Amino acid sequence: MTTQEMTYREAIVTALQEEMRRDARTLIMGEDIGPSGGPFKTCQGLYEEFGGQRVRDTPIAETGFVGAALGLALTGFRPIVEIMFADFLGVCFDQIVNSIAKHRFMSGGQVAVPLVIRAIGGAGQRFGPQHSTTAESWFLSVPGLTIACPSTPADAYGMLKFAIRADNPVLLLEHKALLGTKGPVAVGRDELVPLDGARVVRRGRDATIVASLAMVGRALGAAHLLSTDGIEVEIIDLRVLRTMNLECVFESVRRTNLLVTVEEQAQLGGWGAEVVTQVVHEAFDYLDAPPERICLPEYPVPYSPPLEDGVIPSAERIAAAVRSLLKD
Amino acid sequence: MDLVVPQLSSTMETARVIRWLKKPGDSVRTGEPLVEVETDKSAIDVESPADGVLSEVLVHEGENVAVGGSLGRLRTPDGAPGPTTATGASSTPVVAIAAEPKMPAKTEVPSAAMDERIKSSPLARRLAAEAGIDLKTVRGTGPNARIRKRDLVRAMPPSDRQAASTARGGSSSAVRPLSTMRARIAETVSASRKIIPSFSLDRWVETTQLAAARASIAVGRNGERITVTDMLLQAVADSLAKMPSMLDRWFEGAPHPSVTTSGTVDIGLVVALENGLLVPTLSDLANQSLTHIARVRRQAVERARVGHLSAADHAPTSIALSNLGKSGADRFEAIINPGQSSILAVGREHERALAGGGKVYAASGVNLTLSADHRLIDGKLGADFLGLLAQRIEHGSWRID
Repeated sequence: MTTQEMTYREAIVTALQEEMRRDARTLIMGEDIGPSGGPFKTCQGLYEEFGGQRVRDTPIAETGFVGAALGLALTGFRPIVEIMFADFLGVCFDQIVNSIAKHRFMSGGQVAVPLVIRAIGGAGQRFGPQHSTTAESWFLSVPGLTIACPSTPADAYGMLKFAIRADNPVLLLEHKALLGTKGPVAVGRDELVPLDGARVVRRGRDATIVASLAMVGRALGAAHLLSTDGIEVEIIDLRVLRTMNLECVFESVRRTNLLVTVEEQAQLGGWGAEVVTQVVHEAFDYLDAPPERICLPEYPVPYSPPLEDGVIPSAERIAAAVRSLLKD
Repeated sequence: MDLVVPQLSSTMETARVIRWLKKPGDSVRTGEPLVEVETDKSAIDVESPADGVLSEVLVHEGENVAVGGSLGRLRTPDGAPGPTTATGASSTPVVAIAAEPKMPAKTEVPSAAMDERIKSSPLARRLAAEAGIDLKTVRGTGPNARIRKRDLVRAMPPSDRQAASTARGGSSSAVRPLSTMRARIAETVSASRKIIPSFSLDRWVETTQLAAARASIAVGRNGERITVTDMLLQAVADSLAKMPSMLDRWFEGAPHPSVTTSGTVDIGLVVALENGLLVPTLSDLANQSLTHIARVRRQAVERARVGHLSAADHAPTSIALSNLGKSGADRFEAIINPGQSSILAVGREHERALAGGGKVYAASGVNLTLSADHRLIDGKLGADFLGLLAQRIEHGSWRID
């Protein structure tokens, strides 16, 4: 086992390689993931190494190949599917919500569904309204699904390995704006990092910011801006949407007394609502102001670059929200 | 008997003890100043309500106390120094007011508003319980006057502050706390901008006739010097008497807001001070002479300058006058005081070229800008009022004595 500096994309490729070498029952399907290595090159080299039987290009028909993956999972394989844009999860919504997430329950526990759905989402890359969602809020209320959101190369690697070996369906929401970001990854390890929940990524005393995916980086940017004014915010990466584990958030809010959530999705129905609810329940007597939520507007991500950049919460906007919480 | 803090204005919630003028054990006589307190608007001497001995000081210098709370206890010859459960006259909480004239504060709002729920953050409630602080004695600086941790920390004795305020802060030396008056003004104008849907109307009025009348009056009876402000006050008072709907005030009652009026012609006067401003109410100006108005105005301004407003100065009113006729602004739009429904801003007196009868001529005048709360005053009412007022200023006759 060694620690290597690699990109988020390379971390995904490495995890896939290691797990497919480790277990011959794993296979991967998706659009253009074969000889071309995937539209975002997240499957680079897999076709060459494992062949067309285990690395299969599919037609543009998510319902079909996600449904086929369920069949494979029910019959002894450990399938992985890649959804080219998280927006396309909408196409196979029924397979995921009504079949994949329910099979174990409906069979009285007789079958396991060891299936991984990787979906690459997120805005900021000039892909327009139909190719820019993170889809984080879409599956929040689906019992039976595990949903994880890696924001670092280490998590992209660790969470994917965990998902592949899990016996229940896992939805991994990756972010295309993060594919080129670099970080240390402990590769070549056989033991898994548990999918344990939210994690503090920066210590601070004045306010707690909970963010996911690309918003973690924006929040860290805000922390830097605020730090020059002597305001130290604590940043927490939500990491796991389902099942949400917010222990470190409660502990943090009990120290800072203020909470801000930052989501790359519209406010209504977003995970921030659940974070606020649980914090109000677990740390009510420690809150010094109503929690603040920073979200996308209630309309789709625009195609126009200036408009797109305008709707994504910026470090400045996050910093301003913190300042106003401290001041008002 | 308990020495109870009187409510001196509709917005007053707490008072801060500046200085005790008597020590425990000192004999005091009725009407003798006992303690100096600072309210949201001014400093006031609280006088002893009876002859006796100051037996106990409950609120120390620099501390806050809520309206209705006890400042201290007075032992009177006919009563024990106990709480207000004592018998006889001392069973009623005594409103100890030093202010002139000697009268209880006007009750502006129904009593339900007095025991309104105190808004506080959950953290503030917990810290208050731990520190044994009554939230009624703390002034909230958060949204909707919500009490936050910082307010509690401020209300704590310095020795307790370290524990409550963790590492937050560490402010640089350039940061200064606001004076009570500055904080109050900041709160008031912010609240006004947030709450009151105001609009403004302009009217230029000629002051030639007013200036000529003033030159001929110079001084009223008893040598009272009459100013342009006094004449404007008379003109506004006369216009209000003719248009009583301008006396209406918005009342944020529960469950529904309503309209209220004192029925008398009262006008607030904005008095500029070195570090802020005060708006004493000049009451009952209907049909009053310039001599009377000048005296009332002079006394109110004097009280405001020394920071000792009386209870009557805080009486509710619907309209205020802000006269900057001697300053540099041609016109300005004043911010309505919450609780009032309009404010008249008077700009710099200046000459303007006018046309009339086929000729161009020069005339002196001022811009009147009326800011009005649209919840009560529509454009037509405001415009009619300005028209009436202009007519009164330009062509009306002045009652001197």
